[in-house]
Amino acid sequence: MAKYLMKRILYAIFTLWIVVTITFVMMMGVPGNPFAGEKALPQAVLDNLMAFYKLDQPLIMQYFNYLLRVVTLDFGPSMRSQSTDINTYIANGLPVSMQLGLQALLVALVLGVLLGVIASLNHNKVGDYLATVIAIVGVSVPSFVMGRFLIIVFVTNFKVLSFGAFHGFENWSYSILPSIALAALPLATIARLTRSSMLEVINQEYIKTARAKGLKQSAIIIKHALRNAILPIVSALGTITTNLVTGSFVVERIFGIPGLGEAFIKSVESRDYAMIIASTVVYSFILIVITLVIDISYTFIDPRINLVGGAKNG
Amino acid sequence: MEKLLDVKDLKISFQTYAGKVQAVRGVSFFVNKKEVLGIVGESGCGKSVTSSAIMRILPQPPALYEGGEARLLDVNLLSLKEEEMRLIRGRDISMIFQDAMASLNPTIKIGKQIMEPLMIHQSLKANAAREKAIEMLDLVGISNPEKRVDQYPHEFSGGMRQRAMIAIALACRPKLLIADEPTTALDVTIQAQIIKLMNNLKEEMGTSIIMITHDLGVVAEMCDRIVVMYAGKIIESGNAKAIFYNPKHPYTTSLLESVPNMKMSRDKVLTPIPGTPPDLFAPPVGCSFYARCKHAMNICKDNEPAVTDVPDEYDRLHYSACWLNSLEYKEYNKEAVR
Repeated sequence: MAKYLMKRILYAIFTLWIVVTITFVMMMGVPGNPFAGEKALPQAVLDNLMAFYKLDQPLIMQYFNYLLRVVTLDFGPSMRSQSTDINTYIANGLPVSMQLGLQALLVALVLGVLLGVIASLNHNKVGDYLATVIAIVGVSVPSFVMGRFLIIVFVTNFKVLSFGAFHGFENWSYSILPSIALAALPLATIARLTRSSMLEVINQEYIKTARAKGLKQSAIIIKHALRNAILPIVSALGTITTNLVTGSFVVERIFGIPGLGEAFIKSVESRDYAMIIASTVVYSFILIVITLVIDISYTFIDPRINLVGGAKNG
Repeated sequence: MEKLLDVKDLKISFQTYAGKVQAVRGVSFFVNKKEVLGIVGESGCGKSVTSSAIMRILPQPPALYEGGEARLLDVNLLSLKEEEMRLIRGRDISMIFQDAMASLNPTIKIGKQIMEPLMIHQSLKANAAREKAIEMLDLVGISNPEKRVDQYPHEFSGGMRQRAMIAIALACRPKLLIADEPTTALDVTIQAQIIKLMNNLKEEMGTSIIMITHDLGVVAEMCDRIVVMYAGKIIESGNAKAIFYNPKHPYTTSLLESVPNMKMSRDKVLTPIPGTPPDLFAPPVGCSFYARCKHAMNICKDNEPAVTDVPDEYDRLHYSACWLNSLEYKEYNKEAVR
């Protein structure tokens, strides 16, 4: 296992390098620069800025500068505002986005699996249709509509909840609505996956065996069916989790949350090269780590999966 | 002989988009204590449905119980509440299936799968159940059971998986074991081992067995009595000798002619049964074998043959549902000859 982990970490570093390189090429290929505003800057000012950020150097030098920044994990100041140190920015924003994302993930996972199981057990009956409707609503209603709707219902009309900045459990109730708004889409995805996967599993012979043993329906579903049905959901969790914990531009905007979501979108828009590279690294790093965790968790869920690769008996 | 299971006029159909399929159309048979009953017939004749119906593990819908009863000693299984039936499954009646790989849960250790019925029906604690599971694995001839108990199904070979299935089924020493084509997916040497094992365990535990198969070889080796099914009905029943040496239904005769045997002369050609079984969406009015029968007569087309006694030197309780055996037909035939 240790050998496998080492191998995976080496692969991860390699992957990260590829991602940074491709991002760099694409970033430089896009016309414009960080300082192009509505009002053109005087040439002398522009030259100075370019020199300050080392953008006047040959591309290959710039590339190595970026690589150095990634390796040292020191992304320097934002190109848009000198006062913003990117490392501090991420250190402040990431925990907020992560908390929000993990809460949303919890909601999506618990309710999604529950909904999917209910749907599969009531195949082509009311429960199934109800779950399908919820799933379709979750997929098709955009988060800005969902967010606003939640605000109107719970904040404006019933006045039971509020929203705004929160830190950990300080003002925790502020994080409830954005978590729900964020959870809607992954909840629907998970529900649909669970439903189709469960439908496949409950028609398997070993479910018949379990019934023939005299097991209760609930025991059959929880012990025999769900464990076999959960694998496709776990696979999907990789991207779902990454998307959730790295923050959502829309949801963070609507609920006024100082997360990371905004940085991703705005940095591209404004050609903030330093910020683009930083957010790419954060995003890919999280994705790579989560993928590794998920790959390892497969072996616990399904004993037939063998990551290390070795002699199989039987 | 005391009857353990008595099935009377069992009718099962399946509701589908295309209409109602009458899979089992009034089936009556019984199993005595310590007896092996073979249910024989080709694919789709309703033999598996019959057995799953007795266990009440057919998914409803689409399955519909349309009548009849199945008594285990004094209890009509078909009228029990689901919760009462659940306690009978695995304790009084167990079942093993054709494909042992698919029938074992791939993500649960073999030992745990054997422990489950013990913990439900005998309220054993985990430790005691584990001991019993090891004992069962040993009993079904799996070597090194202490190690095997903690392995997963994919670490077992095909024959061992079926042995493990038998261990699960017999863990609570059921009165009746329903074996639904247990040897079909195995190669011949393993088949022989499994049959030998089942025969031994039957003697040891005094379990009655319903053996569902289309393999007449398996039937000959194991069964005391045989029920032949065709198109959702029983067309002949009797003890093994009566069925093999003195078949009284053209379908049984054809079935025996289509299987090779060791005493057969080398030039003898096997005779397949022409045609296909009838469509059970709209079963025929008369004899269901009419369309494929080489002895078909006018009377067979629109009149269903009654179950008739055809006692012989092998079995006084030999029954067949064919006009050839019917008194009415014999009278009619005499008339015709005259």
